[in-house]
Amino acid sequence: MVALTFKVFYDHMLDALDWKSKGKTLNDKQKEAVRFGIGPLWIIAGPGSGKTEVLVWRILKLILVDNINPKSIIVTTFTEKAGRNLADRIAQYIDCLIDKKIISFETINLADLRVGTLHSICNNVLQEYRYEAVDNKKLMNEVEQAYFVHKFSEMRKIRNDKFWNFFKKNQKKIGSWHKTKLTLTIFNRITEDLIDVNKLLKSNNSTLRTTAKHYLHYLKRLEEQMLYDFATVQKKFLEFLDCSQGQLFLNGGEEQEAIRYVLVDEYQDTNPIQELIYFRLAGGHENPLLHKSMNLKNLTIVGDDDQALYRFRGGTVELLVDFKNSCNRFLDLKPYFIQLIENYRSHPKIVDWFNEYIKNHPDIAGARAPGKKDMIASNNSPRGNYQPILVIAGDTHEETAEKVGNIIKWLKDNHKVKDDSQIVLLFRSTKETDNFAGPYVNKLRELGNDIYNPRSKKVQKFFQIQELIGAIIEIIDPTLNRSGPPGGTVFDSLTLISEQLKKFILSCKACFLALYNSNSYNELNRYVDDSINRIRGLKGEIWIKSTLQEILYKLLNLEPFISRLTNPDWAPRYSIITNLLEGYCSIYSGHLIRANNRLYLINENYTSNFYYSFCGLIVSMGLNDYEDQDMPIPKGYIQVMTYHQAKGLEFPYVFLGSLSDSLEWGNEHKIEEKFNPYRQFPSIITSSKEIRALRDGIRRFYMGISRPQIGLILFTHNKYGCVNSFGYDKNGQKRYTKEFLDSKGIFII
Amino acid sequence: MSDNFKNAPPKDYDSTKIIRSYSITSDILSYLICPRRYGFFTARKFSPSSNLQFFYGTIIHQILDKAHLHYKGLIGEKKAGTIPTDNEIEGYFDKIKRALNLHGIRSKSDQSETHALKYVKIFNKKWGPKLYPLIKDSEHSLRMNRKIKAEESKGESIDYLLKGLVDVLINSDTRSENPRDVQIWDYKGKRKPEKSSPFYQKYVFQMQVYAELYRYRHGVLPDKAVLVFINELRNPNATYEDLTIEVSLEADEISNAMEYFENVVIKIEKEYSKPFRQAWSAPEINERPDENTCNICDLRWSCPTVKGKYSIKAP
Repeated sequence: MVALTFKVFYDHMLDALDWKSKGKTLNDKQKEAVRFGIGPLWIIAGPGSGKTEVLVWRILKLILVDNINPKSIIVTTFTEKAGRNLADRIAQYIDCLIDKKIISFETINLADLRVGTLHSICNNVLQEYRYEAVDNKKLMNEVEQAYFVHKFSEMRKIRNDKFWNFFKKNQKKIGSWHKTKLTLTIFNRITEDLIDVNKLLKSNNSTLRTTAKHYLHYLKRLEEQMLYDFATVQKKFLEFLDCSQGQLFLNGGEEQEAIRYVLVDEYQDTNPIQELIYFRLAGGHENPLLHKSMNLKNLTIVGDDDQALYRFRGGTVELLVDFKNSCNRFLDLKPYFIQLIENYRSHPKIVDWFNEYIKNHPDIAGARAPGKKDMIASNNSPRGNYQPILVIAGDTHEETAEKVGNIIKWLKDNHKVKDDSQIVLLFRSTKETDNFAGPYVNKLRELGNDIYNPRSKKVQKFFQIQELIGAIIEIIDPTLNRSGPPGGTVFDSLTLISEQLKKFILSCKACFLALYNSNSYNELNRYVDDSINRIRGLKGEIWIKSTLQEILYKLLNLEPFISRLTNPDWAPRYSIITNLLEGYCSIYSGHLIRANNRLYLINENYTSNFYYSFCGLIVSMGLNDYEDQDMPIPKGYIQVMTYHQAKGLEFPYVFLGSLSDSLEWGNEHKIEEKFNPYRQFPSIITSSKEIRALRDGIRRFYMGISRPQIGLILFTHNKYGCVNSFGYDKNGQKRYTKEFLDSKGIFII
Repeated sequence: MSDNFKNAPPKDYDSTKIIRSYSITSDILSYLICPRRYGFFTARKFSPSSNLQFFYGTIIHQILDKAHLHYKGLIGEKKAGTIPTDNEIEGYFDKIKRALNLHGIRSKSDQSETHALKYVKIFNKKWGPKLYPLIKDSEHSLRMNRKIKAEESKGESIDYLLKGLVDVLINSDTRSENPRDVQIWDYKGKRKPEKSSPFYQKYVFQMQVYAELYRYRHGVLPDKAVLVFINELRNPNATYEDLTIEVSLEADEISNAMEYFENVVIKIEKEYSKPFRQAWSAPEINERPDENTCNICDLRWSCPTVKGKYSIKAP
């Protein structure tokens, strides 16, 4: 293929994408980032600055101008969906170039370009090379990992409260699923923060020594079961890079291209093991024992420390802030720094608002990436002579919700939005309880709005779900809550059961019995009765032919369930139950065993596992609705989201809630701190957990206030708790005062 | 009270276009077998109750892949250029079987397991020495972005991603670097079908689409497209002709295959855009799937196509 010059490439792109006719171009900073040659490149991309566009152009430039084989390029994104979007856009642009006959059909093979999350790229490479440590093994999803830890880890069975309190913020007693969750977080953290387990085993602290032993035990159990998890796939990948096949992958060979360019998006949410992988891929040499690769140290990172969100999943924003030093350490080079400062998203007054917020907040001063400038609203961003910021302040949630509802009604009545999905409400948590999104969602529904709130964690509360789970319970533990043939119920033998779980199980059973006793569903009643009688008729402790999943499907094939499978509200929720049960059965086995005594129907262990583990997970974690990856923002619904869900998104109108949330440290900060002295490499974490938490909170608010295009509506029921979410003016005075807001022409209603 | 936004500009709604990916086996053929099953288990993401169907095919593919890697010297300390012994094949077989079982994928019977192992051993011993040195790549992944214009879909235009995974690429001429001298091979854990069988048509269709994917990737069509039917090795002396079908790669046939493929994509995309209740309906009685498909379908008891054929039995 004949390479183009940059100028020709740039002109061709403007032409092919039809930008010329619209007067659209890349701005100078974007162009500089696209054009940049070899060596490490550090792009700080503020909100709405067109970073995806820059990434796409840069990748095309590498292929068409620098003549780099797509096989030699690795691009990582934060989610699979973002990766697919990026790949789709590249493909689209290439189509445009082909249409205009600028390049020919066969020039570029996009199939060879590796785009996706780092987890998936690592996993794909390891699978491609049939790397021994993953060969024939199965990668667990999150649900399976949770069940796995719950079943196999001895750590989560530790009863000593002191042990758990060592890692936790609140010092209350916790239940068994809570312990499982914490165990998961800790194990993932040990892997992702590159904790030296040997050092941990020799710690003076007995809790840490115990944790290290349990971690090793967990890894051993994974091996035995031929499984691996998302965190360890990265660890295995690092090991792979040191073996001869890994070297072939990295440096190329006779028939193989070397890795020559690594581009990383959303670097602010990267963790230490990922950082090491990126530098290794780019030819870094932190460990002197490692071979120096042929790579040209072409690492491009894109991100914005001010928008970091994911410390609770191991994200370490400090890695971005300190990128210059890391580059020096790993690559002996200084990165070239570019900040994309033009904002194409928001009204200029919103841009001013978030600029001032982050710049003047005393608690984040000195913790931001060095040399950052203010964002500037582009000429193409929304304009208009109006005040795009409005503050809603009520004395109670109910009063505030009422006002929110009125504004939304006004926006709809006055055709300021074309579809309800152009409005979003953001909360810290979208649980529909009194303290979170509940009052707002209820009010909006009452006013006749359709709401999409997939992460409300309440799917398990619907009777339609409880009836189904209740039917399964009826078959495996029929005597529960029911007069019938004599016998005990396994339920009564559960000694460690929490009140909440007890309530849930009884409620499921009650829902089913109501259905049963209504006598409206004869086939369902017959199937359930027949099943119980047939199992009762068997002799001894034997396997029963049907699995739990088969029983679930038989139930789903019967009324009233089968009719609901064509209902858009219920089918996706039943689909979630089938996924959950599959995860459960893959770890606990779905093969029912008959009880050996006349007291119970199904083996006591089997039934109690079902209660404690299958039902336990549902109750303690709550079930979210199905989210269609292809359609994350369904048309026709007002969107209710967490701040985290809104990452990377923009909306015409953003109603921002949870403004008086505490910015105190949480478990994630404490766990990070406890393991900090045991890292394999010198740690970058030097500030206290209190300070890191405060900064994380400020970044979260910044992310929120930089989402809207046309209107930012800040709403609160607590007028005294909004200092941190409103921030300070340039003189250090609080912005949440009537005088300040008046001076800016911002109304409080 | 909302004077704030009186002068705010109205905002148009930008709908984002969904680009789905389609593969021949897991999408196109699966949809054609039964739209209802496809709708539930692929489009609406229900988890099926068992993976019974896949053990045989999976183990045959994985073990042949192992044999290829063994020959290339990519397994442990094995020297390149050696054919795995029967014992080594058994070792690989046991390991793969254990993994599949641990992950809930089981064989229908001991007999099918014995057959799988027996056939693979024969293939390895008899065909390995000739074939393995010619292997250029295995599990070769191919992708292609496609667009269906609005006038062809008789609706909105459709962008999609076509995906394929070719079992092995074989050099026709070891001295040549030309992509024209490469054959695409696909293993089937099945008997060779009669020409009149619908399976025959499906296999041919699959290979023709792979050939087009190959052309998109390498600029030329492959030299040959070959289907290998491992179960024909029940006769250990089966010849190349007994074992394989060489699929015709005439331009008009490939173009027909692609047109057929796109027509199914259009149908699937139409299902996605239908109202929820009307999408993914069961096939007409004259288009009902083969019995084996229905026998293990989790939705058979409520399926209007086979109404009354299956009754729900207690465990």
